Formats: sequence, C-alpha cells, structure tokens
Amino acid sequence: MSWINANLTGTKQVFAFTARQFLKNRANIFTFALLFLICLVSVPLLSLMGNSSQEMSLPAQSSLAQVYLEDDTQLSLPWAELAAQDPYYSQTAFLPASDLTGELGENHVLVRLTQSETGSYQLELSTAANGPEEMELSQLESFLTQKIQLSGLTPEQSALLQGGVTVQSQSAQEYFEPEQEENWETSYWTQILYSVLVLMVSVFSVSYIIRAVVEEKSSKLIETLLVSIRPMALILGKILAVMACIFGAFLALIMGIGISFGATALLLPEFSLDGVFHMLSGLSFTWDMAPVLLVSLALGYLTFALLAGLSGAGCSSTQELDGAMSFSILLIMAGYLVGIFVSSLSGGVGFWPVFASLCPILSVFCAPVQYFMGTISFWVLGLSWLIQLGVIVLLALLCAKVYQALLLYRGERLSFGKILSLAAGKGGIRR
Amino acid sequence: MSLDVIDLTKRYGEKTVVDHLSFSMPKPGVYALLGTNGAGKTTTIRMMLGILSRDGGQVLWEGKELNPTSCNLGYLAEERGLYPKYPLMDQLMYFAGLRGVPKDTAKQRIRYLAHRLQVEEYLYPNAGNPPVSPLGGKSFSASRQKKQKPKLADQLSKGNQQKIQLMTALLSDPDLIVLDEPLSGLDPVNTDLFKSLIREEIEKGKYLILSSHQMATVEEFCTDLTILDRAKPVLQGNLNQIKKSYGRVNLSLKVEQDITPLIRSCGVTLLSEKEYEYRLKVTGEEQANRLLGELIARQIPVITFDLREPSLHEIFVETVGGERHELD
Repeated sequence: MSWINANLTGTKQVFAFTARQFLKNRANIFTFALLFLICLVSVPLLSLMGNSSQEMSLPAQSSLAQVYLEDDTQLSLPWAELAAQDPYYSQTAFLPASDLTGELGENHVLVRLTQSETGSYQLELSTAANGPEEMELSQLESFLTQKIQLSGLTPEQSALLQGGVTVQSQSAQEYFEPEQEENWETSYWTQILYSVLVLMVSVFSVSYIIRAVVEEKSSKLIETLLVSIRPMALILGKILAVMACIFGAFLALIMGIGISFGATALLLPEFSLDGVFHMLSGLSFTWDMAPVLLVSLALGYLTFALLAGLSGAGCSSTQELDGAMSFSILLIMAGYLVGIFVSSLSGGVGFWPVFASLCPILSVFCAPVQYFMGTISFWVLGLSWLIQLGVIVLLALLCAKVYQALLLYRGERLSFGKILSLAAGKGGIRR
Repeated sequence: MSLDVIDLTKRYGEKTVVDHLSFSMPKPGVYALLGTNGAGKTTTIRMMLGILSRDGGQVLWEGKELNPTSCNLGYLAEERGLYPKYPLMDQLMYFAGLRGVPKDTAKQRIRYLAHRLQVEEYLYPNAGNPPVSPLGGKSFSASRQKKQKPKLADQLSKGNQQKIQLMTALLSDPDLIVLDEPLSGLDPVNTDLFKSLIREEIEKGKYLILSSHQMATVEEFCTDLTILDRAKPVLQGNLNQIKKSYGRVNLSLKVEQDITPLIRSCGVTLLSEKEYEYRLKVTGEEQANRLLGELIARQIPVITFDLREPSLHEIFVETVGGERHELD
C-alpha cells in the first residue's frame, strides 16, 4: 500500500490534465470529426453502392438450377408455383429438401425455413463451397422474404425475418454434421479487422505518448514535475489518459455507424441494407466477443504504449522524435505482420498458433483471433492475458526506472540496448 | 520544523561531484548555497529533493526523510520550463493539483500571486472591466468586445514565464522553498518583484534554500551559507559570524589629493583608486587608525573614511580564488 502511495499518487491529476489537453488539441478534434463524418455516411454509401451494383448486374433470369426447400414452419407455401409465377425464377426448380441426394452442386441452394418459440421466422441458406454468387443469394433471400410477407405475417414477424437471415457456405454433409463446421471467412475477417484496430490504436497513441514524454524533457519541465510526482505515476497517467481518449473515440465512431445504420433504415427505406447485413453476418459477431476484444485491445495498447514511453525516455529533444517513433511503429508492424502470417500459415492448427498466442508482442495480435477461431481454449487465452499483464508490469517498472535515470540526460538518443543496460544498472549516464 | 542535510555525496564514475556535504537549518530563514559554476550546487539541490539518486547521505525534514509527501515544498529549478502550447491557467491548476491543493484554494492563491507578480493580464485576459458609457450602461463597443483566448506559455516573454514558474513553486504555500538562481535573467523591476515576494515568504517563517551567483541578493536575504568549490564545502556557517571572523579590514577612503605615497608608507594594501577615492585592505583597526592619524597630522581633508567587514562577494572571491591559487 505504501509503495502504491509513494509511486502512484498524482496519477489521477496527470490523467485529467493529459486527457483535457488531448481533447482540446485542434488536430485531434479535426481528425475525430472527420472520422465521425465518414462513419455517419458509411452505411448510406454502402447501401447505395450495393443497390446500384445489384441493379446494374442483375440478369433477366436466375442462374440457380435447383433450390431445395426444407420448410419446418406451419406456412406450407406452394413454393414451386410461386417461383413459376416469377419470370426471374421461371427456369429454376424449387424442390423439397428430401429430394437432395449427395452434395449440393454449384448452382444449387438448400433453404431451411424455421420458426422460433417467439414466433419469428428464420431463413438459412446453404450452398456448396463453389456455390452461387452472393448477389444471387441476396436476390433469392429477397424473393423468399417477400413471399412469406405476402402470406400474412405481422409486420413484427417480417422485421424479425429481415434481421435474421444468415448465409452459410457448406456441403450437405457439413449441414447434417454442424459440429465440424469451420468458418474460415469469419476468422479471416476477425483477424484482419482486429489486427487493423490494434494497429490503428497503437500507432496513433504511440506517437502521442512519445511526443508527450519528450516534450516534458525538452521543455525542461521535468524537474519541477518530479518534485511532486514519481515517474511511474507520470507515465501511467499519460498512457491511461490517451487510452481513455482513443477508446472513447472508437466507441463514438461505432455509435456513429449505429446512428448511420438506423437513420438509413428509417429515412431511406428505398435503399436496401441487405449488403450491409451480409457483411455483418459474415463476421458472425456475437456480443460475448466484446469483452474478449476489449480486454485484448487494452492489454495490447498498454504494451505498446509502455514501449513507446521507454523509447521516448531515451530522447532529450524533439529532433529525436522521429527515431523513437520509427522504432515503436516498426515493432507494432512486425507484430501485426507476423500475427497475420502465423494465422494463415498454420491453418489454425498445431504449435504456432499457441506459440503466437503466448509470445509477448505477437499475442497482442494473435491471441483473441485464435480464440475466436477455436484454435486455443479460453485457458490459453487467459494465460496469454496473464503473460501480457506480467510484461506490462515489468515494462512499467522499467519505464519508471529509465525515466528517472535519464530525466536530466542531454545528448543523442540512446539505443534500446543502452536503455536496457541502464535499467539493469550497468553503466551510468553523465548529465 | 528543521532541515538536516547529512553527508550528501554524489559520484559519476570516478568523479565526485558532491563530497560529503552537511548543513542544517534548525529554524526558519534563508540558507544560501554558493559556489563557482560546476561546484555542485544544483546537484546538491536535486539530490535533496529526490530528483537525482544519491551515493551517500541523508536529507531529513523534521527528523524524517524528505519527500514530497512528508514536506510541503516548492521548487524553482535552474532549468525552468512550461508546456509551451498549453494555456497558463490549466498548467497552474495542474501543478496545484499535483501538490494536493484544493481547487478553490488554488484559484485564490493563483489570483493573489498573479496580482503580486503583475501577470494578471495573461492569466485573466477577459477579466478587465468593460468600458462604461457616460450614461452608466455598457458602451456599444464593450458589448461587441471579442473574448480573448487564454494565453499560452510561448506567447510570454522570458521574464513573464519566469514569474509563472515562481508561481508554480509557491502555489501550495510551501514550508520549504528551494530557489535555484531565481533572479537570473530578470530586469531590475522584475528583480524587485521577486525580492518582495521572497521577503514576504521569509516574514511568514518559511525555510528557504537559495542558490545564486548574485552575491548582493544573497547577502540581503541569507542568514547562513555554504560555499562549495569543486564538490567540497570550503566555507560554512552564519554569515555575520563569518564576516566578523574576517574582521573590519576593508577601508574606503575619499580625499581631495593624491595620498598614494602615504598609503604605501603606512604598509596598507591599495586595491583600487579612482579620482582620490581609494579602496584599501588593512590588517585591522590599529593600522586604519594609524593611517587616519597621519592624514589628520598632515592636514589632509578626509571626505569619507569607512572601515567595514568584507562583503560576501569579497569573501567568496577570496575563499574560492584563494583555494584555486593554492591549488595552482
């Protein structure tokens, strides 16, 4: 407790001051406003592009040869007749699912229509791996939905139906044995999106943290500050403030996308959101993923932020900022690339995914994705978090020690090796 | 309250930059740390405040190790700085927060110090009274007055930045105030402002440690001192006692004719002469009286005859210069 009092007193004040100055910074405000604007217009733009491409490239007749229907509801709609009345599906055979023997062909779709306990209807479209194009499936989904709506559903049921369609690519054998499902599309998108998110958060915050550390040293403020506060509190206050601001900004951007989505559905009903739904359903995002993502992101951010603080501590003037930033950004890029490489190379099995999930730096990018892919268990993910937490604590102690040792240092930027040997107590720095 | 510095030592490799320095302040007052450039004054201060690690020694405040939590201290560093692009008021409130000063108290203290140091216009750019029209209401131009933006540190002159830095040191109404070269770079008007504020703190019974090259200023305030030369204390003690120990050996003499041969015949050392105004070094009062007797006997009119103790400047030069001379 006394260690905490001695070393962390004042963290709150540094946090509040850094956050206030971060939010007052015009460049930050401008960047955030621009990103928020992009988020707001993203959904209408996507819908518009989706609609126009659909209109432009839709052929006169469907390329689907056979649609197998498994209707587990009480609707009992005459699908074959309904399809025959539609010129687009005049050449497509709508058959009961029991007629399906063997695997689905490239122009075949298996549709399963189910009804939940709440009364809502769900469509599940299955195809072969080399099955029909996304646009064709989207068109089929619209056709089926429209026919169900016309059959006397309540508007609420229709709304539920519109939001509950998932499209999966799988063989008939996989359909009957769902436990062997391998959703590589999901893992690919999760890997890319998560890695890019870590990359953006880290790169943006690293430059700000290094600048903040070097600014205090070069403006000769550090002596005055360290009479009131220990280096650990100073660096942690800064890092946590930048983290809060950046995470807050990302949350606001996600809310911006949500507003954009809602506004498009409400104000522009002529725009189809099917394309957006398809994209989101491709990610298979579930809300239980959110805490895993948040914890992983926070640990990753702290790791890179502390490394940035360490790198900044070796500088004595703003002229040396570029060198310190390049080092930190290279480290982040290396982690990002190796993370993606390991994921794609290993094919999701074997030693490497586990190694990448436990190795510091790499684990920032790999661990949550490998967990979502099912390659590592929650226990391995937990162990990865523990290792990351240990690394963070060590880095924080190291950072405080180096910060104190170099606070009056005037000279060329020290290499990372020299900083580490200094922290280990080897060699001294003459001020 | 008391401050005790015991055996403070700092080494960089083989080189000792502060060598077993000890002094104490049993009661409030001003303690001066003097020395040539590189003698170890600033290193001593940094070690005392925990900014630099020590290779030996202790610094005790009220018998306990001095640290920011055990002692309310204020520090004006030799290497001064402010955040160049942040508003001044934000910075002052931040420093007050770090010292644990409640917001309302900090605001009052900032206003008071801003008034004393005449920097209100930079801290309260919109506080000026709006012009009043002859009819009593606000004038049209007043209502259209543009709100001024808060001032940033890099918009201030060096002297005004130094005032803000002194404010940061005094914000918490500290018990122990450490001022490292507080008057360097200030014009005479601002020097007087600083001095008046320092005097006020002394009157309030604060403990001040002052490091400066301006001997006249140190002499004006300090009661005790240490002179450092090449890491070692070469002279320590109460300023008055040190002066007494030197005796009244400085003689200022002003006459209306050349008396150089007489001065030489009396064995008095002539330091300087300008238009029959002499600065002399005597061995003591006896030699000075003998010279005065000779002047009266020869009926030479004496305009000034001032026998006094040496100034701090003279003691400093003699102590450090003498040491250098012996070593050379």
